[in-house]
Amino acid sequence: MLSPRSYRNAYLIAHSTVRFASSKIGPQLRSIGEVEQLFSQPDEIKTDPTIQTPKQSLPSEELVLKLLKLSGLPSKCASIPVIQQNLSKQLDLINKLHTFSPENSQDGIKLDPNHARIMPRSTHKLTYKELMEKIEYQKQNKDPELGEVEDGSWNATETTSISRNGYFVFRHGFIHDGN
Amino acid sequence: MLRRTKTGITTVATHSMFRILRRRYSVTSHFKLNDRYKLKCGLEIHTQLNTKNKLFSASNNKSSSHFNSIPNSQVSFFDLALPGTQPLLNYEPILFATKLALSLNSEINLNSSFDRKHYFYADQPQGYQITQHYSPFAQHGHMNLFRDIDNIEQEQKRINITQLQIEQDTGKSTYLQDEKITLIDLNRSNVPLIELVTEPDFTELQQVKAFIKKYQNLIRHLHISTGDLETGAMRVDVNVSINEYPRIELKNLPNTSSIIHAIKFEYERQIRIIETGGTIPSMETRGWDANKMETVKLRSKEGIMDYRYMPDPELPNVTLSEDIITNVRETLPILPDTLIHKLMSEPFNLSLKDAKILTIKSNNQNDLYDHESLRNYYLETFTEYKNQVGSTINCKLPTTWIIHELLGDLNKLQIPLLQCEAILTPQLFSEFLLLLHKEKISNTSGKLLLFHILETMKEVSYDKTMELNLNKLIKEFNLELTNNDVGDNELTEICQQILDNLNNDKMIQDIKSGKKPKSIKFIIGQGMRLYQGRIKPQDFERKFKELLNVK
Repeated sequence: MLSPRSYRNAYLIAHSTVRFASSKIGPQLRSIGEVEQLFSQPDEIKTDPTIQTPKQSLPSEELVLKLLKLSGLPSKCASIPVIQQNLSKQLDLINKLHTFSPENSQDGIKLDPNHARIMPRSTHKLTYKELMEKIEYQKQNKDPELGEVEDGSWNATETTSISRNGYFVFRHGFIHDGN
Repeated sequence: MLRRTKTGITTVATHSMFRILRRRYSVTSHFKLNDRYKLKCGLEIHTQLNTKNKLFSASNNKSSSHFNSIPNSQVSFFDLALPGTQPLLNYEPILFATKLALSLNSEINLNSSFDRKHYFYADQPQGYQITQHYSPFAQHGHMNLFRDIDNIEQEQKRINITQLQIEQDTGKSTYLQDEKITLIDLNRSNVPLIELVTEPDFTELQQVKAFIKKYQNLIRHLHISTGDLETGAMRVDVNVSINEYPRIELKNLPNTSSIIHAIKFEYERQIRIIETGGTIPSMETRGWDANKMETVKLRSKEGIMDYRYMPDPELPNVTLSEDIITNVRETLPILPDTLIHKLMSEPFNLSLKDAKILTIKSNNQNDLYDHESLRNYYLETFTEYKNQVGSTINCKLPTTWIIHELLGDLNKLQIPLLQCEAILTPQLFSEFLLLLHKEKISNTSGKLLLFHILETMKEVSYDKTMELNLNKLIKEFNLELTNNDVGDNELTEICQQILDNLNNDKMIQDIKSGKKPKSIKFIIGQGMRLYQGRIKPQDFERKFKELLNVK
């Protein structure tokens, strides 16, 4: 199921902004301490000066309209030029990120695309005993501070501006009429 | 009848034409596959898992069992996608998915992961569904269908299963078109689902029907889902194509009848398009209009969503050790097909029909019992009975008296099996069978006795302290077979008296002449009724034949 093409498609914008140059974006960060240290530095030195990426041209109005539609956002009153400018800056950043090749990382370590997550990359293999213990624990532990209550006693629609007999109310045209 | 249109033209012809067209375009009752057009179907089945909690939160998973519960009463902050909330995987669905994957002979992915499928819909507050797109939970499974068990044309048919993936369900929408609003209930939001995708291996309608029924029974057998189509606990989409033309996806099929009718309609519709020189559009999705009994276009290729799949950055991979597969396999119950064959073999020797009653949940069953509790009752009783009689076992006795007689009485008296077995335990029922086995009571007396016991337990509101002494009851109602006490001369006198009282010379002559030999059963019935089953019907038959001089 995991074809390189479909994986790349995960990054919608990347279609038009795939890697322009291969280079590295600095040494791999190995601890939270190193991440904190990096972000404590002034902005201008965070980017590796060796990275050369072409200046991103403004995305077309058509692309902006498509993105708005995909995002469920109204386009009728949207300021397209402002969005084009903002998007262009974001694309610049993404271009820079794309210059980093997982296959050619500086340590020569080939990375698993499955690791493109914030979560720990190598998780502990769950044994049957652990699985059953986890299930038993989860069955008995709810967190009322997250609205996880046994009797469903909190009123989910209490703070909504419109509700009806316990239902949330969705007004038609909220998405489509705005486009 | 003539009708007038705005233009003043009579419309008899138009109406006739319309009726003809409706008839042509609706599902024909005499559906037959056309040899020139091969039917090809694949299924996508969504199954709601009946875990205690939802998939990524610890809110109650009561969506399917309490589908009429108060709206938005079973939701956590995460289920509502309130800002700042994050998913936390509930591991019970992992266990359930493992059971299902193993039962469907699938390869389990020991390192599966979750991805986000983006689309905007009012009952999907996150703006994406968490599913398994890139690395699903299991792949390459199969289910075998058999002619005898599953009622298909071929001796055997293998349906390959592409994959099983775990994902979240969405909320429910109620459209109020007049008010231009939709009411949203998120009780179902984040309920765990398994999506099963088959290969397009179905070539006949009966195979589709059989697979759905078999899969439904399997998930019930494994206790991982109620499997009810009516409540949406199981939802089936179908891909239909003919020959090598593009496939059409059918959605919104609420029950098996809709599924079958929709395939029939779609098959005939696609043939019409091809034969009239039309083109089957690629990637079209159609729904089922139950009122018009036809499929209707929902969306075409142009309307296909770009789901922008991406790995969910908030969920770690699901990494499992091999021992999970080994241990779960060991805890699996005997699967239905194996169970049917077991029940049809020694020492049970059940017929296929009876074995199915004990193995497959049928729509004829009601709240009084389910096939599983009935099977357990049967097996326990059988074991007790076998222990008492050893090699002289009559395997038909437990079958007849539990599957047929007891069930009939429970239905007649509206007694749940659960209440019954608390008083008439398998141990006691085996004692009852022993009385029949040793011919201490006749079948007729047995029926009377069983009905009396059940009726009494209902009268005392299933009081578990109810006294149930079979021998005492037999004496009290004088049900013991009297054959041993009735000598041959006495039996001759009894039978002669019955024939005299019958006062029906024509019947006697018809029996003697062989014109209506079966009428002797009526006379035997008179004797059984008169002596309340205390004399065996075989003895009555022998004596009557002797007196009437017939073989």
